[in-house]
Amino acid sequence: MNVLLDAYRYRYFLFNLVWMGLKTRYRFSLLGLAWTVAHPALHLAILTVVFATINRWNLADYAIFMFSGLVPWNFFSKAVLDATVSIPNSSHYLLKVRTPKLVFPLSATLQALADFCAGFLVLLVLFAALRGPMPASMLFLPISIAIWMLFAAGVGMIFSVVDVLFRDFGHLAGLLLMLLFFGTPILFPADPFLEAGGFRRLLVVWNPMYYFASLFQQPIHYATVPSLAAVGITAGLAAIALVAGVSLYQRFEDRFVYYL
Amino acid sequence: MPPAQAPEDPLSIVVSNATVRYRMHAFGQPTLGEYLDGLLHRRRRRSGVRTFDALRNVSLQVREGEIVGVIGRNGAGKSTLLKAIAGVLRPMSGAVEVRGRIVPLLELGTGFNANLTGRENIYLTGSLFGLSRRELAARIDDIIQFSELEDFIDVPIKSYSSGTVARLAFSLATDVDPDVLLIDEVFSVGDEFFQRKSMARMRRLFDESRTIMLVSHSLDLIRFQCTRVIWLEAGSIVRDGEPGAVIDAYRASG
Repeated sequence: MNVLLDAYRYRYFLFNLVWMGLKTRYRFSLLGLAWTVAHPALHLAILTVVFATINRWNLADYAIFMFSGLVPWNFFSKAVLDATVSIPNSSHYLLKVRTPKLVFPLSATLQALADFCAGFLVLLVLFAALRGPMPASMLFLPISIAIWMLFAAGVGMIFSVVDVLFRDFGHLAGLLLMLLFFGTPILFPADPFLEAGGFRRLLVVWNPMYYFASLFQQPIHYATVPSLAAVGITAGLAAIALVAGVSLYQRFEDRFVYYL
Repeated sequence: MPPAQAPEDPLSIVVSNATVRYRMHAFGQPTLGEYLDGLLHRRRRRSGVRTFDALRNVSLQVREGEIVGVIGRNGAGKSTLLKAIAGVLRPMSGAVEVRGRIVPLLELGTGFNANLTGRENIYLTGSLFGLSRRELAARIDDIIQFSELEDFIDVPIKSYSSGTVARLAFSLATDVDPDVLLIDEVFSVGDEFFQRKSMARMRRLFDESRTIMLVSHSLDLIRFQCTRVIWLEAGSIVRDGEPGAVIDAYRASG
């Protein structure tokens, strides 16, 4: 059975997984759904004050730059990490009922997308408050979001298969993403590294996440459309990750139950 | 000795030469280190992983309307057979084919999420059984009414008692029109009143010519409810036939 077709037939189950997951997350907290907006806003405030103070950067300018990279990164990180452990965490379904396995990492991606929407809203409000009218370059953002999302879905599928086969990977994935985060110009601008040349330049240029970050930083902070190279590289990587993820499911999903 | 069947009843379940092999590992599965070690020392790895055949080359055919009881000692492969038919386990060799919607009533309510309300769990688990939103919306009132949970249906089920959760699970699983119902030891659901009601519903399901496979250690229940009994031993079918004869043979074996 084709795993994509199988997942599509269970789309209502996928919808329920996502919706119920979102509903339960804040069910027993006082602020409820408001947390989805409050959390990224407070997260931003802390990081901005800390980093702008250390580096003596302009607070308002830095806030927009940093948040334009951080919002998609947080989405990616949450989507991938939740997807990584999504199969063992769903063993109560997988061991009882025949289920298309692909819906579980996909559910993690879609739930993270809901958080992304809240963060993106905060970003837009902040932009309007600090910079005023939005530049036309921001019309590019739907494409940026689509590329990030497809990439996150693909990487999430790949990681989840690796995690089922080698449970150690769940511990490793978080550290891996942290390393990648600090190696990507999100908290700090890329320019000093690019101008320095040599190894420090290569460190940025060879990091694929640099191009992903630029999909948001360019249209929002720099008010320009991202470079063709950045769009090509990121779209290509997203396609590769998706194809690899689906192929891994096609090949391995029948064995999952034996590893749970 | 296959039981006499009306030839016009179509096949519902076909299991052909199915073998299910579990890998027995000290901690369930190899860690990355053990795997790399295994790659380096191929020969040792091959001999190192012990396997266990929970089903050995099992073949059986079930026709629509049959109520098949599966008996045997602990570890004989009864639950594994049900899981293979449910599609939870893909046998490593052989094939399993089932026609229509399979609803497993294995360990009631395990798919439920404690933080969700009864109603939300009906939608979530119902869609897991393959029902659409419309089908569930049409049934939900019946399901709630049968479970007698009208007053608590919008309360998270973590505040339900275990008997109440089982009642909800039973009401859901038996209301979604399963073509094949798989039951693993779940007959004593709820209090005496609910038990009587659930037996009546089971009987209705039996009458409406649904295919049912039932694992139980209650031999009397099997004798009275089933039209056919399969006796499993160490992953193989020992006898397959008329309930009285198979159960007597099984009893005599102990």
